[in-house]
Amino acid sequence: MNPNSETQLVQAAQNGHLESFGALYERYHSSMVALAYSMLADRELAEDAAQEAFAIACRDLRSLKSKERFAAWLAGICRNVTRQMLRSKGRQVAVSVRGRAGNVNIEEHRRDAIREAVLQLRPAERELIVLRYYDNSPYEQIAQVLDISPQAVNGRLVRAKRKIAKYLKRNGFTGDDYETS
Amino acid sequence: MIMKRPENDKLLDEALSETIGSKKSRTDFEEWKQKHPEAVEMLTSRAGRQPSAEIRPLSIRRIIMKSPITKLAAAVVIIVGVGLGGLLFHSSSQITWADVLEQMRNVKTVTYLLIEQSADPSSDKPDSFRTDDRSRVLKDQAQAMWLWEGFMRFTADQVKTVGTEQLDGVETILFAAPINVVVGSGTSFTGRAHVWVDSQSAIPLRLIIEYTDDNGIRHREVLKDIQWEMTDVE
Repeated sequence: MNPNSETQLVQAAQNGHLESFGALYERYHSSMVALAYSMLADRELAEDAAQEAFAIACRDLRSLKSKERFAAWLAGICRNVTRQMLRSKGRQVAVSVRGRAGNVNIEEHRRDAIREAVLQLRPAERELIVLRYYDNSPYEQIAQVLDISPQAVNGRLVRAKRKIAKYLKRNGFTGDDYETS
Repeated sequence: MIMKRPENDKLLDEALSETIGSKKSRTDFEEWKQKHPEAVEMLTSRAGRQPSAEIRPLSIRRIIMKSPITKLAAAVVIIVGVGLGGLLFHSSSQITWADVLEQMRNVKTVTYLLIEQSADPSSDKPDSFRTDDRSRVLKDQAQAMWLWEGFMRFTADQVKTVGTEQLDGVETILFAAPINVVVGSGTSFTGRAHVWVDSQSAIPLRLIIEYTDDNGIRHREVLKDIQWEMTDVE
């Protein structure tokens, strides 16, 4: 990602160039959906949250002073929109998958356990995990969105994955399956 | 999926991608434009204009106004963000912005004592502050995260490092910053904030916000005895 070109895109969008805003939209849409999904655990609602976040960003873009922090600024808006949705819908932060009834195969069990493990993480860790695995976002883009360094992304990912592996192990999935170094 | 030890990390990556991964979300800007004509109109109406020096209300305002967060909480968010945004520009201490941000990422709850004061210039004692002491507690993580959002969102290029001060036996770094205070009606007032930050932990210990409203009434809000509860970190 070329930070200069992104700054230029933001500048152009601030001057009313819609195509530049479109380029930013294309670049960060998936990340915003992932960010919202980490809080909502609902893909359709997450799409809605991302759309609304871009609408607010579009309207308020001129207030952004640090153009190089566009992604982090947008992420802040997206988190706020998502919280609004959570409040208005009276939803909890995450949808529990406990109590799944009926016949479930081992693969479904495993996915449920992974979802549970992700839900156990702190919100910042959950954001990071979902950003990474929702759309295989590169570290550099995640770093932009979370306003941290790519090295920090890497370190935190390792820690979060270690927690997930521990959780899975505690819940009957063997350490041989998932334990991380 | 078969999983063997030598590839544990890779297998976990695959399992996470498989469980969390999207089928590829729709990224259709044309569709978005059609759904948000008002936003598009606001953006494109600036085309051909030179950027002005006009200062627009902070973008967080709309969100704050829709939320049940109180005027004070909004002000605190702004204060904390603006005040500590200054750390980016003044690194005379050992504290860096990254340290503060790192701390704030772990915030779970925060409690503080709020002292609200105001002075009416038209009263008999124009310089006398009326004081209303009460404590505020932000209990849940979502609310506490508003404070954290302040750190993420705001940077200030006019923040000054005033110096070091002892605060209840703790060495702090005092920052001063101009602020925008957003009140319940959505009106924005400018004022000044002072933020005392623990010089070792990079955690804000005290905030004082001062501003004057449309009626000339001076307001002073002191947040003291701030206690941040952090989530457990490995």
